[in-house]
Amino acid sequence: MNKLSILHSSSVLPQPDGAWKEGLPRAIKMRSPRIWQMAYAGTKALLEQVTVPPQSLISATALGALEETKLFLDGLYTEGFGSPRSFIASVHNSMAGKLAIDFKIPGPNLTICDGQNSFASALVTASLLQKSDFPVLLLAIDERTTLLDELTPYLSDSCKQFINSQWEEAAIAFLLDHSDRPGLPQISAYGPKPVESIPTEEELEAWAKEFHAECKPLPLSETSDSFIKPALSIQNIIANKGANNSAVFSYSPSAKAMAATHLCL
Amino acid sequence: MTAIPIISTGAICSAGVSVEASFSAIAEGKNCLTPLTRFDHGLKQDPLCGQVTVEPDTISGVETANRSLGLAMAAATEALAVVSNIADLRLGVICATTVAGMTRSELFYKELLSNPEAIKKAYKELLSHEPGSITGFIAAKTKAQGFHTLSTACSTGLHAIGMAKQLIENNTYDLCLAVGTDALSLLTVRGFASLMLIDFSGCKPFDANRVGISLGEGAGALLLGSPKACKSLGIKPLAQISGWGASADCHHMTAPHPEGDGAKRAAEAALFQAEIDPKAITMIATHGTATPDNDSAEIKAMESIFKQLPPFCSMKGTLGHTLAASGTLESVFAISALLQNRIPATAGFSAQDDSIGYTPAQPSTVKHRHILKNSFGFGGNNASIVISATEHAHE
Repeated sequence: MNKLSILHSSSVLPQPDGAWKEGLPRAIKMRSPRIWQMAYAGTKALLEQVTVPPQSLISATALGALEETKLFLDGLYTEGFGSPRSFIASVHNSMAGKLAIDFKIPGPNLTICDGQNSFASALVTASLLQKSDFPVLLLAIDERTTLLDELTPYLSDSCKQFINSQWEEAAIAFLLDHSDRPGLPQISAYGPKPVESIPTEEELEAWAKEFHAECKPLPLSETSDSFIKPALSIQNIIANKGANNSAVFSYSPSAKAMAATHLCL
Repeated sequence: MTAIPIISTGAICSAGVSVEASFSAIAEGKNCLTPLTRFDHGLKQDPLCGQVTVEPDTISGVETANRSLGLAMAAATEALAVVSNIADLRLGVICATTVAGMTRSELFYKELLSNPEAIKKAYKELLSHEPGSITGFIAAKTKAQGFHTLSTACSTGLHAIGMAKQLIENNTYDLCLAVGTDALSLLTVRGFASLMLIDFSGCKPFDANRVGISLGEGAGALLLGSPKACKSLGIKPLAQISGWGASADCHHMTAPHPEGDGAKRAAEAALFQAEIDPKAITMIATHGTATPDNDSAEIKAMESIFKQLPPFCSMKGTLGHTLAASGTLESVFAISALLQNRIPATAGFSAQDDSIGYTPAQPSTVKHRHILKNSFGFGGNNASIVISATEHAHE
């Protein structure tokens, strides 16, 4: 894919103290599903930095509004009625749709769901849009839910590397431009592609060399141990001014596939 | 922009288990909606739905983890059957789904509520739930080099076709399989019922008495290829994808913009990319869900583009609304219509709505040049593509 420039980025990692909700409009704080609140907070934090507003929006999420999906089924199975709000929110694209309405983003509005590879897959998707659709807001988002916490101990050992009890939730937003602009971080992605087995560290190092990455890639157990981690790893490199030339790899156990994201600061 | 050849298609739906078997029902406007009895939906009345009556895995010969995947494999198998010796070509798979593994997840969760021991099955159930697991499975089975999974509500299918076009155009792949799939699930049936959007007697697109949708299930697949790949395979393309446009209404989560603003912009973008005059469109395969607001907004959008509205149809009276599959399935049948120079009937329509002022076309014949296909979804999400006869691209 062609390289994209990162104009701005931001991240919201919800903490139990609820401070991340400060600044949310009252209607959203009171009536919106929690993951919509995360999406709003992440987008707002990004858009406070920008001068040119996004023309299109791509959300990258593995499971979408899982908690609302559960609430809808709870209603059906226990009371015989699921709430319309939960049904609307259960649609994976509901966050992207709501953000387009709230922030008036008129162009293409897409949601990519490729497990831990969602961020890389969404970057490739962004590169396919027309020049007039830029800047593109790319929002990587997934939530941690009680149900997932209950299920994770029962996953297979190989799967626990990627969906474990310490997994994170976040809303991480990037504003992307199509052109290769000097002085800005450049990002590109490859995949997802099917793999027969979980890539070894040696294989990752070989792929990283193809990108001329300056440092040894982090092991998958560090960059793919939650759905949001690949995007978070990239955001951390940008925020901490890490290596000039980095490769972050991701692996999805459900799709048996890997992807790579390449960042040049 | 480059028009990208369509090599082959595949379909499984309430009208049949192949493109050929299904298209006559579409063309004639046959009602293929039947009462939903396959699972306990808990509604007072069985809604009429477009249901696949065979086990999808028996069509593909591949054992799959859930029904959406089974439907996708059946359609993909038909589309890929026309090509052989593709090992030297780069194949990509783009899959559109909203239901994904929900048919299985909802049963697992119901069991979990009454039997805590069921949690021991969490491993398989969680992996099957993710939309990306469907595309990963298809990609592995077809030996694809890469894939992407879209879940953009009911417009997803057309986005998958648009992405496949772009990925060939930018030389990422030589061949790209765009598949849209969704199975009927308790969540979607009860979800649309909770919004009071279901017409229990069967949907009536563009009709004066339309009150809502009928749900359906199925999968549609289109195999696109670069001109060079078509040449190396010795294949004469069926037609071409010449334009893709997308937009957001920025208006309401479940209601379209009343004037069809976003729908208009998506269709205009598709026509612009196709580099054709709207006058060259010989048919519109509408989204046509049969909700009062959607049909009205879609006609207003089209009216604002076309000085004289071309013949139009909705296939949802035959198939039901197959959600993420609708864009690909209805595109597959629009391609069949183009190849046979036919305009399909609109099942369920009988009385003109004077507030709309237009009626869907009677089944008829026309010399097709370009077909505009629309799909819209929750959140005010719009997509259009232009399907062109091979000899008419960029005229």
